[in-house]
Amino acid sequence: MSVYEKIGGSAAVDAAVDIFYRKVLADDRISEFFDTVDMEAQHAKQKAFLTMAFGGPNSYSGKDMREAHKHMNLTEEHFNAVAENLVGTLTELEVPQEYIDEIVGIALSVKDDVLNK
Amino acid sequence: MTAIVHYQSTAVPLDHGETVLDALLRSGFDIPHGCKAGACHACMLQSESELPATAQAGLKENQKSLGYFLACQCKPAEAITIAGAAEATKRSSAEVISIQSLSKSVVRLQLKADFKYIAGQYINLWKDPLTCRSYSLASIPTEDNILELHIKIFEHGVFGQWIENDLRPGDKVDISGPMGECFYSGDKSSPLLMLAMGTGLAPIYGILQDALVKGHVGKINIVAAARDANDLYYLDLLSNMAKFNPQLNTHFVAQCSDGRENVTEADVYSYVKAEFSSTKGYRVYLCGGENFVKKMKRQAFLAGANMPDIYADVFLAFGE
Ligand SMILES: Cc1cc2nc3c(=O)[nH]c(=O)nc-3n(C[C@H](O)[C@H](O)[C@H](O)COP(=O)(O)OP(=O)(O)OC[C@H]3O[C@@H](n4cnc5c(N)ncnc54)[C@H](O)[C@@H]3O)c2cc1C
Ligand code: HEM
Ligand code: FES
Repeated sequence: MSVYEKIGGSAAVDAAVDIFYRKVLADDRISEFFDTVDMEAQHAKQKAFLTMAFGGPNSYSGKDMREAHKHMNLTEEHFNAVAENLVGTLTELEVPQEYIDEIVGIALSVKDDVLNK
Repeated sequence: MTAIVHYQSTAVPLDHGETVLDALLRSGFDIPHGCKAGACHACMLQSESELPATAQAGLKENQKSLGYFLACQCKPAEAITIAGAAEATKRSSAEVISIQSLSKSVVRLQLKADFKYIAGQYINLWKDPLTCRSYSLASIPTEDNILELHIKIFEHGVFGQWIENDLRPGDKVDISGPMGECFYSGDKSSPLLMLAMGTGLAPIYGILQDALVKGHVGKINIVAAARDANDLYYLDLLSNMAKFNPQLNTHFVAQCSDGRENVTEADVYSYVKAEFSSTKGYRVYLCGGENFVKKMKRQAFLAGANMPDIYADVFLAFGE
């Protein structure tokens, strides 16, 4: 069973998305990337992000991740900020530590693609 | 590469960045349209070609599957062939009942029409067969069939001037719709926060009446804002409603209060932030111009309201 299924699948994403997006918008290190006119569209993208980070069904390849983030010139600090907000969200939702570790592992596995290294 | 629009056996090449609607209008075709912003759906056409996703954003699934798209939101990368106008959204005739000034810059237009809608939705009002604008309904559906619209008059605004100067009681006008997803629904005990800028009060007033009629028991806070206190309207009406409905609280906010009693002189964003520091568990209704809705949506979300509980209508101005 994947960690996505263990924490409750799409319902877990729904529970996490508002908390996560709120943290991201309030985080000066990265808020500029997400603060667009169309909050609904960004909200939907946060869901795509969480689904992927939780190891849920998604159709993104490493190459897609590279393409999606290439133009943003992301740094280590940006990545860490996203990871911290992700962990903060999961902690708030009282997700067991072992699942959090697993999710962080998934995020780290796409780090090089996201940072275009 | 230039994309080409094929329409009624004419091939119209698109200028760089041009929409299908602008290209067809430039070439002399009569295409009904209104907002040029994807809100009124008056420019809907039909095509069997591949369409960019943005051209179908906001349409219903069955409309999408029929190849309907919004010409004002369509910038195709390749050639497209247009089959024709989407089966015209049905227009119905309405009779003008009254036109009355509500404030320095806002008039109330009452129409009589047998028309189904949910309070808070908006309609298209047609000045001629090709030109419309969207206006929100301030009324709730009742047996007298009276529709109420609040119209802000701009000095050079085509519709505002037409309504204020040319329309007379007894005249017949066409309307179509309704549209929009910003209306009262959900449980009756959650706190509601209703924020209106300018004529954004029209749908908010409709939604408020609907909530009260449906027996909403949770707290309701309504904030009516304007730049200038003289643009505010319905102060007495709303204050009276609050007297008879203890769950209702009214707030009137203007940047310049002009000494008017009951009006708080404040920046509406700071005011709302201070009064409603936590919006957790709230249902939030937001209506007004694009900037207002965008800023307030962000603010309400950061203060704790969940995204699916924030309902908004943006009054995009023509051509923006
Ligand atoms: C979903 C929706 C609901 C709407 N509901 C309402 C409503 O309930 N009440 C209402 O009054 N309007 C509403 N509008 C806006 C309305 O549709 C028209 O855009 C507005 O009435 C202006 O039309 P007009 O023909 O008078 O001006 P236009 O001829 O379209 O504009 C001419 C000029 O007027 C001035 N102008 C127009 N709009 C603005 C603006 N927003 N700010 C500053 N200057 C402007 C500009 O100088 C502009 O160039 C709504 C719009 C949408 C999309
Ligand atoms: C943990 C690693 C990350 C993963 C798994 C991830 C995943 C995703 C996914 C799935 C999308 C949606 C792509 C689409 O459908 O358009 C996306 C978009 C986006 N990501 Fe990430 N992301 C990560 C890190 C980051 C970081 C560190 C930032 C910036 C601080 C960032 C900023 C964005 C932005 C702004 C978009 C939207 C792009 C657009 O609007 O088109 N991401 N990401
Ligand atoms: S939706 Fe295209 S003109 Fe209004």
